[in-house]
Amino acid sequence: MSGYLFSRLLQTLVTLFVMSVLVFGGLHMVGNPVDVLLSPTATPAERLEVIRSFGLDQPVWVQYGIFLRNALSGDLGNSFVYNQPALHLILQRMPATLELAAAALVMALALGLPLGIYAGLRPNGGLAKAIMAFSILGFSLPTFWIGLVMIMVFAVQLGWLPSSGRGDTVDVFGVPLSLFTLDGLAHIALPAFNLALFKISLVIRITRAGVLETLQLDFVRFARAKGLPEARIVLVHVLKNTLIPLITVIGLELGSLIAFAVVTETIFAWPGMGKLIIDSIAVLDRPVILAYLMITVVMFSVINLAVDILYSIVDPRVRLEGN
Amino acid sequence: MADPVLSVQDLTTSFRVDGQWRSVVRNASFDIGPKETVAVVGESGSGKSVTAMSIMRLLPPGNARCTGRIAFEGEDLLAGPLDRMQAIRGNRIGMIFQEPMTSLNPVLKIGSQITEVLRQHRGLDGAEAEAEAVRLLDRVRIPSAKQRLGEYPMNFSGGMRQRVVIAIALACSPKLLIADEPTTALDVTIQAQILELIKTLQEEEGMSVLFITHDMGVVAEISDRTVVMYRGEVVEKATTEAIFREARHPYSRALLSAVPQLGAMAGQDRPLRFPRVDMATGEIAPPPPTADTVRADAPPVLKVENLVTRFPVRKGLLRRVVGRIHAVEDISFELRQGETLSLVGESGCGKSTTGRSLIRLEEPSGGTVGMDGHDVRGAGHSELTKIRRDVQMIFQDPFESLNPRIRIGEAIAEPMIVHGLVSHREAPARVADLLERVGLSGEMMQRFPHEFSGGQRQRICIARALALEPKLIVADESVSALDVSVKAQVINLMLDLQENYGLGYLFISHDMAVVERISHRVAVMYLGEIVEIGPRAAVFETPRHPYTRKLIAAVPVADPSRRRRRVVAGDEIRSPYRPADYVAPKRLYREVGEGHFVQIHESEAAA
Amino acid sequence: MTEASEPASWARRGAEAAPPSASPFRQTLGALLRDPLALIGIVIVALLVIGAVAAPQIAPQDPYDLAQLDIMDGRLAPGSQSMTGMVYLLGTDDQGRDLFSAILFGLRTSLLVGIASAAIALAIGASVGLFSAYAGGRTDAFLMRIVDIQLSFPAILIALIFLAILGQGVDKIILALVVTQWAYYARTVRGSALVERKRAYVDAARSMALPDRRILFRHILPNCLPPLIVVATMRVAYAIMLEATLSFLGIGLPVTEPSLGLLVSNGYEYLLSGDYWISFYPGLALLILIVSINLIGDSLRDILNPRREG
Repeated sequence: MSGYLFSRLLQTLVTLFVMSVLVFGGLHMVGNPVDVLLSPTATPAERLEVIRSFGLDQPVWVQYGIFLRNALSGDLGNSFVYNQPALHLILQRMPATLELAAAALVMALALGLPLGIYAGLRPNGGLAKAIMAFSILGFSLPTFWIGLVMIMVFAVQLGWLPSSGRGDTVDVFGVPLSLFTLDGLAHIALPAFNLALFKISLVIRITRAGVLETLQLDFVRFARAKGLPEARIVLVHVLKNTLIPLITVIGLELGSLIAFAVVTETIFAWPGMGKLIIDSIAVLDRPVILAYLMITVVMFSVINLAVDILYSIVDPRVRLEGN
Repeated sequence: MADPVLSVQDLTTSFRVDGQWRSVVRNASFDIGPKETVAVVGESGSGKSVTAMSIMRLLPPGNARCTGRIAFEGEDLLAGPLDRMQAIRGNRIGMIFQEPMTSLNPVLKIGSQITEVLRQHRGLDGAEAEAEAVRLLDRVRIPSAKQRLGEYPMNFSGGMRQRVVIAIALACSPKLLIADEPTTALDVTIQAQILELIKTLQEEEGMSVLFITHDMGVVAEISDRTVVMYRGEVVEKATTEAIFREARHPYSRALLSAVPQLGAMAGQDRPLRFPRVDMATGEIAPPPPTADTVRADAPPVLKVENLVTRFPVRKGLLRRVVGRIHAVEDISFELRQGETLSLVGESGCGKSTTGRSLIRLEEPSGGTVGMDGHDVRGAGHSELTKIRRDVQMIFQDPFESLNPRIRIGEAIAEPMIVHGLVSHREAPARVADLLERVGLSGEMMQRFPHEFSGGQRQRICIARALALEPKLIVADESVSALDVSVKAQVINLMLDLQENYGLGYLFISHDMAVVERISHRVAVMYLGEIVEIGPRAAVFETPRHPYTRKLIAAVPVADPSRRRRRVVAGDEIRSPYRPADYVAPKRLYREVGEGHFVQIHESEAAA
Repeated sequence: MTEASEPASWARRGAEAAPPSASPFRQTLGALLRDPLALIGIVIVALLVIGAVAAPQIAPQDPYDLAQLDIMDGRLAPGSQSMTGMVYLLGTDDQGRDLFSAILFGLRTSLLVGIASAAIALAIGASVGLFSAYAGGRTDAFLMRIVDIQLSFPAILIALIFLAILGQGVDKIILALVVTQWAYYARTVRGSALVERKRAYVDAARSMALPDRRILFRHILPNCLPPLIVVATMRVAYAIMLEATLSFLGIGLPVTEPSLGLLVSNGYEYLLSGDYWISFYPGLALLILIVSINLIGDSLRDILNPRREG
């Protein structure tokens, strides 16, 4: 187990390093943030001054060295645009994104699991076929477009739910969250469902496939021959085996939810870190882009680790081992 | 006879395939009396397993239907609603299946898989259920039962899992046990243990047993009465003695004549073909005598000396070698042209790895292999190509060993064309010729492998092997996956080909009875080593090594008059895994007869 | 010798003697055409492809020729007529662009980007996967570690970063999509190649001393194709969706390139005022395209599922 943790930590560090080099070098090669930041009327002297103040006159490896040294002490640089620590900017917006992703994940599981199990148990039934048709549709719906359609229908036409912003928040341990106020819930409903739609389909499909496959296995037949009630066979014997592939997928998909929040946040004007990164890319705000990347690498590594540990708990056949 | 426990009358079971109802069991009728063991025997497609599933009503309700009457202790199982079966299954009728490796849920603890039955049918709970579970595991002779309750199935060997399955099936003292090929997936010594266990428990419980099997040896060993099924119909039912003594139906006779009986070869000095049975009349034609094919005058075609093949087991971050599987450990033997040498042993004994090491499908770790004068281990690319032409392999699973996407004509032609033996233009004629030699037709060459039955596929594999005109064929469990009657035909074909082409066979098998039938010489393998090697008659009639004796004793004999109660040791098959610093001891052999060598036990060697 | 316990396969055995010697490719195609949903998908995809290829010939207007646009026709509802008498079937956008024409041209870009990126990613990924499985050992472990790490990052994130570095353009978005997708193909091919390599027919080929290259390309690769085809179909759909998403976010294609994502994005600001069609119809076209491809993929997955092979 400790060997396993060590190898995972090592892998995360290597990934962080490689990513930072690639992105730092890449960003350096294209475009000059100064062009974006300065007004076209700036004099050459003002230009030089700005370049020096951001340290952009140094050779790239020196710049990277400075970045690395600062990064190790927890300083990922100041945003060119906001002139605030990039790390701070992102951490400030992170709770909103995580809240959105978590709400979407809960929705995906709460809807996807029962529908998937049903479709797996009665693969030839009419309802199951309808569920599968829905899942193909959900799989194919462009998130950004269905988000717009949802705004059009539920916010503009019907006027049931607000179309943008986060609504009232309550501080929970100092973190502002929308989930605990009615207004907040009304605001998060559309964006969370929008984000969840793709994942609902995914969970349905994986659950259905898992149930179908598990039902064919010998131990299910043996469980029937033991005279167990069908409910126990499905809810204990089948479901526990089906959960195993699902856990890996959920881990990967939590990461993808956080990343895809970029789209949902843009449409629903949700003040999360996805909106920030899109804006930063548009103006080539390097420190923010880099900081966002570093944070997501760490975040995904933690998620993957959690998935592996969960996996080894659910599946006795898995033993965590270095490499 | 007292009232039967189970009475099956006119059972017809149909499946819906592509919208059509097709019957797979037709008008089957038989009874099982109290405390009686009835075997239902047949080959694949005979409907024997479907019959068992029909009794338990385990077939999918939408796609299968059963008609007729199945009376269990007087009540018709087919009549009531399906829910009612829940109170019968696992409670009054227990059932065990073929695959112990997959019968248990891999992610639930053994304990909970036992106690759920006790809770369901006997209303036991908590500590009570647990105590009963321990008692059940004790009864099926699982050591330290209490600790093992908290373990998962993966910590149990195949034999141990089947014991757990039996414990579960008998948890509620059922009146009837249905055992569907319960020992087919097990090694022969483990099979003997499980058969003894079932017999013992049956006497203790006073229950009846319905035993589904394809193995006539097991039938002779265990059943009071036998029901023979063929293509969905019961063709014959009688006491087991009567069936074996004077079977009436041609199919029963064909089936029995295709079953090799261990010990029946006494007095024969050459391999023997299986007799042919006329399926219309049931008349048995005695097999033609086999010619003497062994070229004792010429130097051996294959010479193996001190062959070692080990597989490293790596662990940890640095992938250090922490141990090795000693799959093949210091074995030596020779094989002459026209000779059949069998390597026999249980799973994990290294017999298959030996065969694969000969042509470096697995890279040997030490020793020498001389093939017709070529040094296999030192051979470069082109020399190895030449060697592999001379040694052809036939594998166990004919479903697997043909590429599913290549037409069989191409599959047979490919090696010949690659090796430049024929041109593209000549190939079809040569392929047709080869197909006819193995009893198929040249017109079949446009077909894909999935269009053939298992026996036909194995013939195709043989044709492909013959295409390169080899001197030696390594047959790795080549007939093990085939039905009894098909197996007999393929073996007859192999003996024909040996006579015609002077082929040498290295016949790798776990099936002692088949080995006795077709070998000139036999080598018994255990944990990667040869423990005994010699002429077939010597090894089978005067086995010297304790393992050889144990192996022969464990084989069920297809003759109910030779039935015996055996004292079976409960030990498991050991693993050839050794730590990295293990030094294999040097083994010595003693010649106990002409060409008959036995490994000397360490204590003898030291003396 | 084991009796198959599965009733369906059990009963199918009787049909084995029938002689349908069609090649696996034809069998798959036949099964695909017999599935009504897949057939609908094929027909729609075919129509959309024809429409996209022939867009310059059949579109009423070249939506990117500014000379043909009239700002006076801006934001007309579907079915409206222009000053010159032309009917705007699906309405116009804020610049007076005929949406029907814009969608046809947008489909061109979407299909080009989707298919090109999938084809290149497939070629790279399949080669890496096959090589990895063939090489084994440390090379395999190393390559698969890279694949695993990359797959632990969502595609959209990688695409975002790449486009942040590369800037906008058709070639750049294709490159970004290739980078995000090759790993899926590599893992699929490597996975099936490893399974196939252990199967007895490969042992048989080796024992007949067939050359390694022949075993790899003639025996192993064709057997890896079914899962690869399924993955590729689904991935094309996903690539098209990803391109549209990135363009919608304003970091995919430049405003001068016709793209469905951009059209949706353009209509975004008029949505609240009720001019829904500017965003709605381009998105609907995108949805129909993706659903159709996924219908084909879903059917292929069922047909090519190895469990169904006899």
